[in-house]
Amino acid sequence: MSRQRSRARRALAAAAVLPLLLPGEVAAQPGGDAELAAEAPVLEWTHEGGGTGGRTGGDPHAMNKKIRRAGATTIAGASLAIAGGVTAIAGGVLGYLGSPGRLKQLKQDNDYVLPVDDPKRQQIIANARMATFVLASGVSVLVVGVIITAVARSRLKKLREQRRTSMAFGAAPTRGGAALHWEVRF
Amino acid sequence: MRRTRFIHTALVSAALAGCSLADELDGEPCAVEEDCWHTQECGRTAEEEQLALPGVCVSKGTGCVPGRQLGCACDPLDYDRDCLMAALPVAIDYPAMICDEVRRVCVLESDESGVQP
Repeated sequence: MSRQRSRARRALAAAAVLPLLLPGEVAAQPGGDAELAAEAPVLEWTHEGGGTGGRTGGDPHAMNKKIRRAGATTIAGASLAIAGGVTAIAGGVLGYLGSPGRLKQLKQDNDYVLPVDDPKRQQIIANARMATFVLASGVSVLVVGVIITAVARSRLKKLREQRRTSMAFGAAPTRGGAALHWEVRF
Repeated sequence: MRRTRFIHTALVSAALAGCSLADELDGEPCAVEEDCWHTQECGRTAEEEQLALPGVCVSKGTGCVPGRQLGCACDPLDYDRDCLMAALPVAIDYPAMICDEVRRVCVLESDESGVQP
């Protein structure tokens, strides 16, 4: 009985030291079996269920990082758009403060003649000039922000969709052996 | 679509506001460059400065309005440049001018009459 046990143990030990070869790999035999090994047929991988056996979902950490980055870009783009909008509104206010109507009002208040070297007149002119620059830059920033937000948002949606449809594998030891957990989300 | 229309309207309004203000200031009295639009200059001759008279906002490079400003070039045979009408609004008390036929420059009417017998 004990002899049988020791034989079984030896056989198991021998099996443990045997190199685990993948199909297509040829082990170098010290005893000149290289020729035989070369003639041996090379087996192709056959995926179960006829699938392609490709990667499913990739590294979840990398995916989460990408999603976080896309989210941050969306927020940055939206902030830029808001800043541009506020600047454009400020430009609009400046435009009102430097409008021809205000110049006409000043003219009316001064017996229908614009006062010469007058700070109020010069302020209206300065406001009108500044309004053009502020409004143009505000609108430009707003457009850039909107484009960045739209692109980042679409990327974020796509990445979230990818994560949702990815598969998750997990192996866990249990009392009676091991459990394989396979989850497909879509 | 609505956003694009808003941006387009804002840009057009800004451009129109600038143009409109330039038109509004054209021909208006001035003393310094800041009294005019950035595409204009304050056309004020040395004679006007001597008499403490205001200049006129004109397009850059014009200098002064020919035949309409004291000390500016004139043509006695040209109705528009014979110095009988000032470039400034009528509300401003501008002295009467005449075109000096020899110098071809707008001068004060009183000076011209004083020189001639």
